[in-house]
Amino acid sequence: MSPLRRTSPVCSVPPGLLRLPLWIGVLGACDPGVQTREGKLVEVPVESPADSGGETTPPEVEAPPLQPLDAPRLLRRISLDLRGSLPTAAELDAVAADPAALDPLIETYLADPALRERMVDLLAEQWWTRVDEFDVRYEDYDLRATEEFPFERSVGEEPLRLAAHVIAEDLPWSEVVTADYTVANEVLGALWPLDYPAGETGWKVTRYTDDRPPAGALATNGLWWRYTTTPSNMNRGRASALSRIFLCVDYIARPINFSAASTDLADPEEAIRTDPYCLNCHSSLDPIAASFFGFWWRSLYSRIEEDRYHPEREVLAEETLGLSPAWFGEPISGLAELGPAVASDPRFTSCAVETLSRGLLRRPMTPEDQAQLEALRRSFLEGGSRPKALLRAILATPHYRAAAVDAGADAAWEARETTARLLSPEQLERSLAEATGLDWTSEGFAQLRNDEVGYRILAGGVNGISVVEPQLRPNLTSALVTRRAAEGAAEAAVQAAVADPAGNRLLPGFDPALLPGDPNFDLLLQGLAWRLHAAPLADADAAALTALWTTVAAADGPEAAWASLTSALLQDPLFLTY
Amino acid sequence: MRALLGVVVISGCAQPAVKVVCPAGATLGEDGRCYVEVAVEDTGGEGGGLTEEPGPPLPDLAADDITPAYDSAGLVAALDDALQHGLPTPADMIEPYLAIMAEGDPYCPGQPNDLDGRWLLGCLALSGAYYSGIAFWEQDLRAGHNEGLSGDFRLKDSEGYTLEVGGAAGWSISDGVPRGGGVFAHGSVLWERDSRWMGEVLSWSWDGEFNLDERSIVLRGSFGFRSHYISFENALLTPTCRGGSGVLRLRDPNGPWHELDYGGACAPCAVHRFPGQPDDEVCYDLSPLVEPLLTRLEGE
Repeated sequence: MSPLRRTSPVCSVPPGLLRLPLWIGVLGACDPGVQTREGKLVEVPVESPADSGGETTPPEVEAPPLQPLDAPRLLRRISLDLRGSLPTAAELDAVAADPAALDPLIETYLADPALRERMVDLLAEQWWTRVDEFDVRYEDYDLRATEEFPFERSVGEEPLRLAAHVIAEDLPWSEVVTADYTVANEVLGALWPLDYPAGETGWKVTRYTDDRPPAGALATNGLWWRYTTTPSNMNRGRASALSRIFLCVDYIARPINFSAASTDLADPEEAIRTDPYCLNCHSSLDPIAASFFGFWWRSLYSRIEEDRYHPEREVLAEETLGLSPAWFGEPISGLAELGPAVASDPRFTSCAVETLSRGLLRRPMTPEDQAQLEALRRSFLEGGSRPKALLRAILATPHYRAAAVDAGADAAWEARETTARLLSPEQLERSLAEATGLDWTSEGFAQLRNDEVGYRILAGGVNGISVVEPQLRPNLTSALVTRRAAEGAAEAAVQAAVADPAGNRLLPGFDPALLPGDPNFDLLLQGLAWRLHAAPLADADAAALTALWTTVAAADGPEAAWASLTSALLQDPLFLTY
Repeated sequence: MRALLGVVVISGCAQPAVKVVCPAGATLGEDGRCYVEVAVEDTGGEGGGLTEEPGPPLPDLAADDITPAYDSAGLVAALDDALQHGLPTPADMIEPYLAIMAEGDPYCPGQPNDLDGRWLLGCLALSGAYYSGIAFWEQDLRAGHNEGLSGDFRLKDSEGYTLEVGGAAGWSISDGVPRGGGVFAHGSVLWERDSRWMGEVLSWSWDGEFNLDERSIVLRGSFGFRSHYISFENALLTPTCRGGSGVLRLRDPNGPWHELDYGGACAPCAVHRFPGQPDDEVCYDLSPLVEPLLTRLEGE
């Protein structure tokens, strides 16, 4: 029996030793014997490719029973995924006239500065660092209340910005965990030990000045402020976060049966070192935790404790945790060697593929996606782990381009595929801002980007603490938020159109004197729908919108009528999904 | 090929004597384990897969051995530089704290020795001193000397110099025989008037026991100040031991640590280790640290 080729999501094992792979991530805690590289391995009968006459070359990806989007709607999807905003009318016209125009536009989008912003949003849904509060608060730095939101977002976005920089610059993905720099803005530059250039603003490559080792996002305050620790936790939660974010292996998801443990859990530190059920996780988790003692704070809530790396504490791991840093059995010196160890792990590459696929398909990956993910992983590696090649490859998959499941296909396809994807709060914000000029902020807080005085969760977003999965289907609260956003955006759009009719992006050539029946009225209406929906307006919808316009205009005038009409289009599922 | 069917153990591994009841969809195997059929996909990958056929090569990111910035002579010079003022004690943090607290008034901070939490966002005393955060100081002079300060606070004296602390530090001396006690400190301290350790944030995490009759102290833990990072592991220091015992570590500017292993007893020289470099011998005398430390602790 030939062994299967498979990277275990939990432990990396030498080829041929472990013949059974897939269950470990799901059922990993079941048997202490199969958990770690260090532990004993149990062989379980499994049908192999050779047994079944299968092949040893990369798996071919079967064509899924999915119907593709038409070119304009596909362009809209790609624009929202790469830039966070809608394509222009000219771009839509171009792909409607010639679908081959799509590929050059993808390249344009990949080079667009908005890609960086969009990748921050996409990764935030999975890295969970964009939280509303940290142990150290803005008051601790004597910042004003209006600076709270910029402070919190700057902190939480630091590791995301580093990753987005790697993507936007198309650097090898390993840079995310090996870079000798971070990406910071003027807020962080003023508060933390960074060599951020004085007097400048914006997110820039910069370096810490507190002698922390180069480890990319693993050496950022932003990541470890989010994933904090305590004197007794001793960085184990951080090791778990690293595993989830960069290996897509979630220790927390393992089903641990404490009642079956033979050890007295009254002494957890002893149990962690000796009980096989505890060792399931801790034999690999704790040596990773040992790498983070430079971030081991002895006083929580203290800014001088938390905004500096503490090199002198690196050596405390052995004394306090009782072991030395290692990466799944391979000794490492500490944080300085952690990045290369992570990046050299096969799961790191697989996880990058899974993370971006998940973000672009807007759904969790399933076992049925494995063949597709493997094909993507191979092309990613063959291309030198360049993120933009991976993005292109994902955008080309039938899953990404799906508009609908074939009639008659297995019902499981319908359940799994996201053929219509709900706009995230961030996509909604950027789309409305770009198209209508809406700036929805209050007291300095972007209303769709926080939950302290905003509506991020209610709109379907992730707060990184209590809500860690984006909402995939509309509900009452998201409907209420999008309704209010649509109303505000429509009003902003009409005001902007009145102020500058010729240059307006959403209602070009706006003229309040136009009346239904006038060809230019219909052109304006069709153009509005085309821009917002990337689809021509059906006759019945055009008639209903015209009737709405007539009713509102009679009561409140033409500007209010256009605002109502725009608001209706913004609340249409064709706008709110992509 | 899309998928293969595999057979997987899903339970029955906990206690051999326990009767195994398999979940729905699983079958009980002859070995007492539950099995379920799952789709097993091929994810390939060099080194991490389960096949002899490698996938595309993974990036080779093995870290090269780092060359130390210090050779043996440089290490001694670096230690001299780091320890030129000796080592800080809790008293070096508590004294300025009490001095600034003495500049307060009945309203701000309202208590002579502690910050009880009412001034989390700060207050300005009539003297011009500033107080924010939480702090708790205690002293007990019965049968010895016990003193400690803990908190998370930021103070400015009336001339605008900042004392900022996150952590705790203290010591106790028992008037028994032998006369001695313990000392500890952890956290960070910034004291802008200090040019020895705390002017650019002192980060410390250490404890020790001392014997005032025998003039000895055992140090464990780490200090970081002025880009010097130094650590002691069970280092027994006495004035008569012209060297040291235990382990002393100093972080190289390039990242890894130099280790000076004196062994368990007093030795004039230590085995010097650095990752990737051959061991050699370095002689460094730690005895000058002892008296200043003990005198400081004893005198308060």
